[in-house]
Amino acid sequence: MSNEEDVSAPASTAQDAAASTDESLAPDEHGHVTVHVVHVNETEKAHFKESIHATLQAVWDKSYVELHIDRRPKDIFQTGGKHPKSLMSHLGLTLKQALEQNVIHNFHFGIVSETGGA
Amino acid sequence: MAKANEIPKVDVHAGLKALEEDLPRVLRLIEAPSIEALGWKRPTKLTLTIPFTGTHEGKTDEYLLRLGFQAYRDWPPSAQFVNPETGDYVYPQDQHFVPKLTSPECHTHATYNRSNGPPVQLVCCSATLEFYEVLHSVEPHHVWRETDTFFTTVNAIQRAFTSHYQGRYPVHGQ
Repeated sequence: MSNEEDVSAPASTAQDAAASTDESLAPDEHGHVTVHVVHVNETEKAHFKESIHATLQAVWDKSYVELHIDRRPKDIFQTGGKHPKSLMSHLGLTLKQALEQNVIHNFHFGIVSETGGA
Repeated sequence: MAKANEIPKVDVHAGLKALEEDLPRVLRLIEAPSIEALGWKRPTKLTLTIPFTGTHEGKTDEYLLRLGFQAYRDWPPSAQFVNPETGDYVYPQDQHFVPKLTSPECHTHATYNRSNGPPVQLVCCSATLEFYEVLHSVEPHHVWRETDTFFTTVNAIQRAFTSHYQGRYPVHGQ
């Protein structure tokens, strides 16, 4: 099974965008934002500070450290919320770029193992 | 524990116990105070219903997914899209209550012919019970794990709705 995703769909939805208005997305004086990540399969979550200039790949990598969970080969990094969208095609973007390009609407993310079933 | 090419074993006592354990875990994870706050319902001790929406070509449709925990957690929950009026699914008259999901991770069939029993609605995803009941082929790394919860199932279907929703199955006869 490939991790390639349909990139034509918006990365997250209007509902998720609306949810993001509840919190500030502006970085602090050090250029950091608070990232929230849940591991769907392990039902664990973590919150940590990360540079707004960190790539999604770097955020994903750091998430495992903060969660104390090992990466699995078929894991997927995705947006958080009720309408998760894979970020696997956007891992090179920084948080700032991803926000500006509407790939993400907040700093809530999820990690989940791929399922199969075409 | 789930295995490929093995018929799931029903154990309602274990299913109820695991659901009682997992519901608070999942609610804590997604920071929800209750299932009602999410719009979920628990019509029976072994059943959860969860609303979903899908948007295709600018039109948003609503669906109701029924999860069954009769073989949980050794096996994933049963997952069936149901008629919201009856809470049940009868093919073909209820087929328009099934979304067309076409993700390689999660693909729906309003009816699925199998060799080992009558046709079933199939949410073809390695995180649903029916997937194993029909003896679907599965990659080893996709097999349901004992650490998975029903939230794995919900999330897989949510992700398919976000990226691979193609509208409803048609009303029968139209």
